[in-house]
Amino acid sequence: MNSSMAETETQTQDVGSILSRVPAAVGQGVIAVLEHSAGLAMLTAQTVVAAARPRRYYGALVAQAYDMGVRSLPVVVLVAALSGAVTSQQSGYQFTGTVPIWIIGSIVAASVLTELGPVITALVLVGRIGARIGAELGTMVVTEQVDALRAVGRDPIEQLVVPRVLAGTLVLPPLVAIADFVAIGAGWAGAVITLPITTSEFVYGVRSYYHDFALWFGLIKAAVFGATITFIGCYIGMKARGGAEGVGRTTTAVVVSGTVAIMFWDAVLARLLKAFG
Amino acid sequence: MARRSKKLELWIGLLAIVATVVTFWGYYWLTGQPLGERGYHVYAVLPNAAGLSRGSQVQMSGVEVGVVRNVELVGAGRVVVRVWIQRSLQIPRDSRILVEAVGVFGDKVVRLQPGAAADPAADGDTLGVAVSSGLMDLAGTLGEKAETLLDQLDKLMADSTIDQVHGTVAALPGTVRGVERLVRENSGEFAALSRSLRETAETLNSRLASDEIDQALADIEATAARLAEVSEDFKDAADRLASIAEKIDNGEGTLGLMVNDSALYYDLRDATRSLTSLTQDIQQNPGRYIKLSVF
Repeated sequence: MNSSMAETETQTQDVGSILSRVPAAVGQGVIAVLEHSAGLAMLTAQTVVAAARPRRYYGALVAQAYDMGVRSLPVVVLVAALSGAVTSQQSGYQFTGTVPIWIIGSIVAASVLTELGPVITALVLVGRIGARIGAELGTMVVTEQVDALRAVGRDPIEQLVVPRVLAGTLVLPPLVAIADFVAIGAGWAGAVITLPITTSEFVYGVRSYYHDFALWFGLIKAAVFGATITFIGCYIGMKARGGAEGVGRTTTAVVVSGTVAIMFWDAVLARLLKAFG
Repeated sequence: MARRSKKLELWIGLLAIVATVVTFWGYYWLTGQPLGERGYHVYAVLPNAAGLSRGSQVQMSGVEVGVVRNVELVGAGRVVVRVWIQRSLQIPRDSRILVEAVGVFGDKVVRLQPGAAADPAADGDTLGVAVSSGLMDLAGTLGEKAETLLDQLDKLMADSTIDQVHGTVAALPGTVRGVERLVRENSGEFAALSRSLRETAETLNSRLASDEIDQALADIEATAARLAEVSEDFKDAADRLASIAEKIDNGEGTLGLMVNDSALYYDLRDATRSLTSLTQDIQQNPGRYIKLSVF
């Protein structure tokens, strides 16, 4: 009798524990969102303010732009060429014999200019730049180099965040522009080599699709993606805790968050393309 | 440090230059306008752009000669289209533009219809607009025909027709069985008929091969010739009879007078009546006219 009562009491406590844990988890999630929103807003404001003094970070900006732009170019070109070739191959397999063959040119141009060019480039740079920024700043935080900067009167936002965010914002559009035309060129080469399509048919398809906004929209997206990748890298890196393990977690968090953020922006900006395109 | 910074600046500058060149070259390539090629702009005011957009091709005699640079709605039923044409092509000032759909998906192109004026169109001129009889009109006609066809199909597929078809199909097995039974029961007769037909055909073949047929054909030809002569005689006779009938109708000759003179008819009728009356009187009173005397 007593054991039965104890069992019932335990079950009641379990149910109560579960019921209390669910709202607690929701509450923690809401608090985390609010904390991150506030932190991002604060960092944004600090970055905008610090960006008003370019002389203080010009050298770092050049170094970051070189690293993000020039040194990323080979991998960006390689990935763009592969994605363009794959797009033309896939669309060729799907559409040969069903619709006019020049449609492949339109599909390659539409895919590359609006999606593949900016998004693939950004995803490549999330891994290459975002992870590097997260690890770099995370290490600086856990080894108290950031505190040392503050101690000598330097603003870490101005010295670390602004050059990276500006460099990412400025460098991504040229990279995406090059990636766009490399991908279209690779799509053309892949199509004329392996599919029953001529150069003039491919070019006709590309030009049939092309409208100015598609090109400019891709470059606008690139700038937004560049700012997003670097900003997330800086934000998460500056919050790193816990030594080498913490830096590892920071790097992972930057890659995951950066990827999700890019896809989120892609979905949001697609509405703009629909509205103005 | 400064040297390294300069080196990085150089590389960044090269990247920027390459990206700019690629973007501008790509832009001109994508719009179909050769980079650096000179041209001029002409305008047209359309009531309806029909889906025309920036970058659409401009063609003349099927050859691409320019590109649509801008399409702007300036009011209800007024769309101003700015067209770039390569300078090497001079079109007459009274040329017209026509918006047409091409391809399966109805992509729009501008076709230039050259006019007859001696002076060429200049930069900024406004061209006339030709009326399109394009794909949409053809589609409309096709749609009307399809509608008629569908109506007829609806009638064909009416319930009564389908019932009849079903009835016919249902009756087919019985009909086939009946035909099979008929063939089976009369197979002997069919065989006999077949043999008889074969013998008849053989006989005919042998007869056709003999001289009798040739002789018969010669006789038939001779008879036909004689019939032709007789026919000519009949025709002469018919002509003469017609001539006589015409004379009678015209009252010529004795017969004509007799046929056409009504007075003679009445005289004859009166005479007949008098003769009848005289005959009756003779029958009733023979003594008045016949006197018998023996002595």
